[in-house]
Amino acid sequence: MEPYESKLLSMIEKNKKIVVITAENRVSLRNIPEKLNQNFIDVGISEQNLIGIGAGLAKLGFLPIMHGMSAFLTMRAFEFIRTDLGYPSLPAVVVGTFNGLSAIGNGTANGPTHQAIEDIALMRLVPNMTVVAPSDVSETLQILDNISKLNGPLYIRDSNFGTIDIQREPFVWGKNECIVKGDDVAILSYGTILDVCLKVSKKLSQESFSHSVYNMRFLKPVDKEILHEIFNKFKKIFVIEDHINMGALGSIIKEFAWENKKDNEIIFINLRESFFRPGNFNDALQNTELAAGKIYGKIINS
Amino acid sequence: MNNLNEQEFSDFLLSCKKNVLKMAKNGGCFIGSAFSCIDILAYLYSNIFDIEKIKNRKKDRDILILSKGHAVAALYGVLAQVGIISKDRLENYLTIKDDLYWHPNPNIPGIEFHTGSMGHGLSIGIGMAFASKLNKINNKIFVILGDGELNEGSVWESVLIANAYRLDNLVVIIDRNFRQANLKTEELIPLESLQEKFSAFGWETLLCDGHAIDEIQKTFEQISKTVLDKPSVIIANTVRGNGIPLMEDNSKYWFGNFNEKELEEFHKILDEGARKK
Repeated sequence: MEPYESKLLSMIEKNKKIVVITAENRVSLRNIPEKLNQNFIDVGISEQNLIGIGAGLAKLGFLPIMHGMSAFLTMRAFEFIRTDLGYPSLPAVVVGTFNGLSAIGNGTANGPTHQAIEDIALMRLVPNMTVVAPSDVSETLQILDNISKLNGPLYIRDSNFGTIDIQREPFVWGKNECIVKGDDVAILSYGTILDVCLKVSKKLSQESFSHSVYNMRFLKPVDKEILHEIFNKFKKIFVIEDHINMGALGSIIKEFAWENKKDNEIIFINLRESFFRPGNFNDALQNTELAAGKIYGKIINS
Repeated sequence: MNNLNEQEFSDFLLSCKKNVLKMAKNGGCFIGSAFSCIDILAYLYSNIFDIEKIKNRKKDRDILILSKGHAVAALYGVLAQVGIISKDRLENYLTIKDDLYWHPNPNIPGIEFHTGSMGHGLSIGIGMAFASKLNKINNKIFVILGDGELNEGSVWESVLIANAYRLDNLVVIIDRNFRQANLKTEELIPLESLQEKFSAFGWETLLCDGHAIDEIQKTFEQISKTVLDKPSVIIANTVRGNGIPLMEDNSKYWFGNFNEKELEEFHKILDEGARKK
């Protein structure tokens, strides 16, 4: 049994109002359907109904945790998410898998049909939606620990990336964290690519290049407190994400800088405007600007 | 309020329809759609639903989802007649101070979900049917679909899922007026044979004249008496704009916005129609 599955089981043991639903996406649910009985519903390959059914349950007081591939959840079912979950601000959890340059299950082997590279932008558009992109399983579990407090829908960009072995600040809902502390430049990232940034960070440290790495997991609402801290401390800020260059962290940073009249130098490293070339994770990553070596080069030569 | 006889029902329906006329001015309403499904709505609220349970939002109340949300004037007309909302409130229709507009808003008592976008209501209803099963509540979830709405693919996802989970607490009513926004259903995207389609999808299918109280009654009695292990659908054959000859099956009167003189005329026509019955 995987930690995510054990977590869901123990949560439902305590709270029978939680219902796990999936649009036949069982990648993170293999071992629990039989154990959950009526608290597990597989609606088949029908993302719109996944959300509609979850909304119906939520309206009557249940807390649905809905699973699907990010591309189909956030695009095919977008209107259902926006109208049926967002408008009434129903507490409900939408868990998307295979997003960005997802390493889990070699997700980067997916072609353009399955690539979710605009999911954060789309989910940020939904009224009352909270958007979070955990970087590893421990973070995902900590997010789940907080879902009983939701007063609106939550999108988890689940990249389910094993466990990152690093000292972290205690998890605080809605707050982002600094995981490498230094001066000169700030590196901002989240999700799968945070791990890549930590590899870059190690190399930078070996070269005695002082820098900070921030885990920007909460993307909506924006954690403005940490952004003030970052903009006040660093002249140069690198924003690194496996998402297109519109609507996600890069846009958040631009909006923040404009609203606060900041003139810090900001360098954006992302998937530009389009699909990535599919392949095994390392090959696909190398073919983008998000390869550790390329990020390192940009920072060290900046 | 429950179990009206035929005459009492006819009077009740007439009052509901007159309530709708209050919303057919100053911006108007989808009167054609409203008069198509209002007999069924009037029957549900006068003979099936426990009004007190709905008013008090009791957990075991029956639930109605008007998936063809644009027909909401019919629902408001009925809700006002059974006292779930006050008749005075209808005066606020389309004013900015209230939530009475062209689609249902859940701030209005009796509205369970904000429908309007076609093809959502049945999936919401399925979620609520699952909720009743989990809560071990013996209520029913009624979902009213337009026949034009059956163009939406998401409806057919729902039809498959409700069968897969044998949701015997789910009752769909199709307002089969053979018209969608602009055209006749059979001329645009033919739906026939509709009954066979639902049967083939594993549903209990019933047919009735959606404007004949005796047939409506018989059909709903059959549903409440029979123990099934599957969802039910009632295909209610209806006429858009029923009761006002000018509007009946007339594509011009899907929507209507009238002046006081016209409305006065419609009042007379409805009164005469009720007397003839």
